[in-house]
Amino acid sequence: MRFRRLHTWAAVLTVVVLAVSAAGVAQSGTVNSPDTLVTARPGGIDTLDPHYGSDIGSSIFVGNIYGGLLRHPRFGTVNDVEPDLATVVPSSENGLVTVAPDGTTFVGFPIRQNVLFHNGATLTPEDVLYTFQRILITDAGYGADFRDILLGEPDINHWLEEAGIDAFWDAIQLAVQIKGNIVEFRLPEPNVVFLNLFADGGRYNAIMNKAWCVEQDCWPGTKETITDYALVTQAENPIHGKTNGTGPFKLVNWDVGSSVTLERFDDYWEGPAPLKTVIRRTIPEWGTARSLLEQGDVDIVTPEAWYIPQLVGLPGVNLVFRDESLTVTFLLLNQNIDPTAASIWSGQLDGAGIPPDFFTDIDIRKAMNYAFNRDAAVEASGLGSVIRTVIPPAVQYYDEDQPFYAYDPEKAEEHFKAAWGGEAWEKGFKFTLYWSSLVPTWEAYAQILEAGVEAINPKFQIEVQGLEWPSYIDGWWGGLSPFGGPFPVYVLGNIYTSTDASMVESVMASTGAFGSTLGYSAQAREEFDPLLALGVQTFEAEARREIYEDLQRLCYENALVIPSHVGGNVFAMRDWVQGFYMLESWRRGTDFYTIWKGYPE
Amino acid sequence: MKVLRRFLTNPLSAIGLLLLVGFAVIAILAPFIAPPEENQSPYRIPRDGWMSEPQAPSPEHPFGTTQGQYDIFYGVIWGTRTAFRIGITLVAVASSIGIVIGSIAAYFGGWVDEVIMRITDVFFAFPYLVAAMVVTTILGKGLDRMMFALILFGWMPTARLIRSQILVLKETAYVEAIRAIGGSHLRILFRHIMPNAIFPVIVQATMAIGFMIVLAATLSFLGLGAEPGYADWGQMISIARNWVVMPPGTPFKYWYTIVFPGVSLLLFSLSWNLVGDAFRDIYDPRLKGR
Amino acid sequence: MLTYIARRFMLFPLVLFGVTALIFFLMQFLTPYQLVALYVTDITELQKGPEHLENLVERHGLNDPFLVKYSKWLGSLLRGNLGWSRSARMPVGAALKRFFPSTLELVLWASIPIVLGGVWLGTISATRKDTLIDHGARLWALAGVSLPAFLLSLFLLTLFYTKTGWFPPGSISLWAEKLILSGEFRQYTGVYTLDALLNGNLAVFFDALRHLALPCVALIIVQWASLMRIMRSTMLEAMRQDYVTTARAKGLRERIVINKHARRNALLPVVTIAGAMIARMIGGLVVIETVFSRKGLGSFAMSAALQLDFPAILGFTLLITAVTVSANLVVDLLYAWIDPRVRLS
Repeated sequence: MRFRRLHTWAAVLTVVVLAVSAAGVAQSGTVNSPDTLVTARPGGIDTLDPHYGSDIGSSIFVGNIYGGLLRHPRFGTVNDVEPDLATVVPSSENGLVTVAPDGTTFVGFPIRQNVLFHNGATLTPEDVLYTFQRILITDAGYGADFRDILLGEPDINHWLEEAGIDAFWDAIQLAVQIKGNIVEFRLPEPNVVFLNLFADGGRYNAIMNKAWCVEQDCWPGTKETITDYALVTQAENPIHGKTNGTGPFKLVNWDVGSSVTLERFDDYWEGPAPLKTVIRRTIPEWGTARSLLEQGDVDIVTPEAWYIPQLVGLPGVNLVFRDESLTVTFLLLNQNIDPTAASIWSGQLDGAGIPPDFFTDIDIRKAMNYAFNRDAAVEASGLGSVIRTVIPPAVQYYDEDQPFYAYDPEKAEEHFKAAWGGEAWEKGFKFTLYWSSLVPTWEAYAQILEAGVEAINPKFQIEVQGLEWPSYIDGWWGGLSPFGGPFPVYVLGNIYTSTDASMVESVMASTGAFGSTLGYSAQAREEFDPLLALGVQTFEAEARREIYEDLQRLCYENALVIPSHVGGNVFAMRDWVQGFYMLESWRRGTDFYTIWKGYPE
Repeated sequence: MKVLRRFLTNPLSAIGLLLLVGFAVIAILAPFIAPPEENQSPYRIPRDGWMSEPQAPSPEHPFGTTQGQYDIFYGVIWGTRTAFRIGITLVAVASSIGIVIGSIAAYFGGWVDEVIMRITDVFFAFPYLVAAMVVTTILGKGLDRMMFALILFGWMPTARLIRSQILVLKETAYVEAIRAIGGSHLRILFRHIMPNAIFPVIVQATMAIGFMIVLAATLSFLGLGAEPGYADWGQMISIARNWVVMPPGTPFKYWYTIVFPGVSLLLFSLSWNLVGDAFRDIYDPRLKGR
Repeated sequence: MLTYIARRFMLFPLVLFGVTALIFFLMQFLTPYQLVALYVTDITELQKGPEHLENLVERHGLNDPFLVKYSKWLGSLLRGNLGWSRSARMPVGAALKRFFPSTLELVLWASIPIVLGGVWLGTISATRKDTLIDHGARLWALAGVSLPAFLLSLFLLTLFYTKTGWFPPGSISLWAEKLILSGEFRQYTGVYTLDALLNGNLAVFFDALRHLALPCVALIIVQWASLMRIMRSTMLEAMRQDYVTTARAKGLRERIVINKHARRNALLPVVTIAGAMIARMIGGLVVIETVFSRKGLGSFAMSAALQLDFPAILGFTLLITAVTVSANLVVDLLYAWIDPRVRLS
């Protein structure tokens, strides 16, 4: 008897509770508070310390909290640079960039007055000095780039161990100095791309307040303490979760992995922002994020391009997208495959495998290029456009007349027949093509190449293999081996962090991230390196254009890689979000300063 | 025959058997029902184009296509073969390992038994799904690696079961009598103990198949099993899951991406469970003599 | 009895040691470059070149041999430091503390209906054996066991959220979260429903409950089934016992026979199973938390496993193993205490 009644009560209670809960719907439904912006992204934020920010997610967000010396204009293009915490952009016209006869270059940044940090301190040139010294001694973020340009050697181990702390400190003292209200950088050689390092608006090389940093147990700024702080990891970083910047918003709360909340900084030097609160939520499930957008609980989401069909025509939702971003996808051809790798199968040109130097034959490389259908790749990615060379169209000196390998099965056949004295065609070949689950659409590109090549000759066999990211890195890197790793052909991407063409060096330089592993370092050293070095030292636009067009042509003639396409970016937002703009930069960041919610009159 | 009759009189087990036979037929006839592309592994689902949006069922694609234009009908048909492969291989191998280990423990007794049982405890302490996730991530994507992971952490129940069965049987008068006559240990083990001890293991194995299949599908769903494009039901549901939560206007627009593989999975595992249950009802001595 | 308890207690650290050693052993199958992927989550990191990756390997000791790695970890563990979870971006201990309440909430709210429902259905099924009710209940249980948790979750989400908006995913609504994080709300335990009640805030309580509804239902349906099946078989067994026949012969009402005699004895093995259920729920929790976007131990375990975040995996495993082993121990002790037959053996 007792038990039965207990059951009945339990059932009744459950129903009542559920009913009352469901009734609670009314409360949450339409709160789109006009002064709070909510964005949702699938990934979390890695760290709040800009100097340590290694992923896009952190840096673009942190740019709203901090400021840099320069930035790209709001609503402008990535080709333009305007002053942020500096008062003018240094150039030879205003005398802030001077080149001595021996090539030593000085770049000076006059620092803006009356700029406040979130904790009330005022910005001084000492803060800027400390910032760049910290960047130079830290093995994270852009430290290597600054060390490379200012000190001549990017590897921190070289400075800590071989050269010694004294030499390191002296070099740093020489590289960055305060002259009155100006912070001056000394470069041993002229470098055109130097200014780009400052143009991130606080995303990476953000200006810190020295006093606050030291208070938080960061590097005190002295020579003796360098070794203690140079190799600090995320776990040990005291300001991993704390901020004190000059940006329009300050940190309220970081619920790691879940949400970050920002609040308007009323004393921002450009005037207070329209929005009072900004919340960035981490929503890994796309379906959930989209539902929240529809309900109005979230204002902006960043879908993958292949979900666009789900968003088109949704009431109250606008799509903002562009077809050309700065993310290039290509397939890499390894000319120096590890002979013990399983991916080359028999290891001989006998129809059941490939020799390790298979891709050294230029006809093979050209044939692979002709066999790749780029339009299909664009279709698979959902958004984007075909590219001609390894430089995306948005980047300066992109050569739109550059010949490229359009999809042409006949020409591919021609080149296959010519390769390896005809043996490749007669005997056929077999190898494994790799892609990684880090970017799901890479599978499609791999399959597109496979389909294209196999359609030409039934003796051509390609196995498509997907690997998760850890194994991919393992393979790509090849570790300490002298080979380019075990992948014959694999899919990878390149993200241009600025619109300067000098980033082509990652593919073409003998020491570049990719160039060094694909087996053509000897040729690169001879032919490409000198051009690349010249490119960053030449200031004259026309001369630079020639150099980079040369490089693009060389890449084409040597068929070093298979450039596929450049991706697109898309944002979906409620139609009451105004003032949103999108930079072409891969940093699909949102500048919260210009955004307000409501409807224009 | 008596077994078969008992199977068929119980409506639930009859349904289970029927479903199982149906699936087996589909699996066997797969190459005819859904002919694979040339030069490709038959387990690679053909793609009709590269667009992402799933297409509704049509004459060329009876069940429609899922994200990436993979043909759902093909995937469901060949997925049946995959399901059988996974279920039977997993359970057969895991059980075999378990039987060997458990028998060794029970046969030798003493500290060997103790050590083996502690090792079993350690493996047991690790939650099955998490253990499988870690091992699969370490070994890499792919059905074989996933099966290895599931086997690595799946042999323990069988080991425990056979061990307890043997221990019990060891003490029976029957065995004592044989020992008195002078029968050797090994002979006793194999000719007398094992045939009796094995029945509960078989029952458990049959019941385990349904569970294993769901577990394998879950791993595929989480992205750790078969790769996208492989004919595996869990995998197909995984790539469909972002098309499930649709706007209120057309909430079930892409229903076919989930329904077809989902129902197949459900019915398959249900049929094994029904059969396993029936097996248990038949062979469980405690329930005899109802 | 005392020696039994003592033995079980001694085995506890041994099992923990064994499990963690097993994980480190598995870790040895990974090359340092695979391990470094945890710290290289962006393509831009690759663009920095191979030396950068080498530095990372050195810095995090990814090339060390098995013993060095294990003793380093063990050493810091004994000092109370579980390490840093790269996937969660916070110390492992903090992560476990942060995610535990949410999972606990889900498990607690689901356990009661699971146990009550499983027992009730199992009894009904056993007492009305071979009737339509029995078959219906068995089919229902079988469906629950055969249905993958992820499928059920997706189905529930589509039906009860997308179409109707009643029960949203996530743990709590934005407005409630704002309230909780503000100064006006004291977080005593981290469990939203409990804290809401302790703060006397019914609005937050019901909001948390709304978000709990679907995940609970999913968890219940999946776990209910196995409990019910076991209850049914033990109940059948109990009902055939002599004492039941005696009770009936005495003329007692059937209901009392069932409730007072048979069920009590049938419950014993079920208690054992209930203890083991917690361990088995983990699997279901991983999927359910992922699909419903709840931040709990399950989703933490999954992202740690997928990213090969070994400090996190180790920490999580320690916690779950400890919970499982203690639960088993408590259950066994309870069982021994209740059932004198076990005590004597």
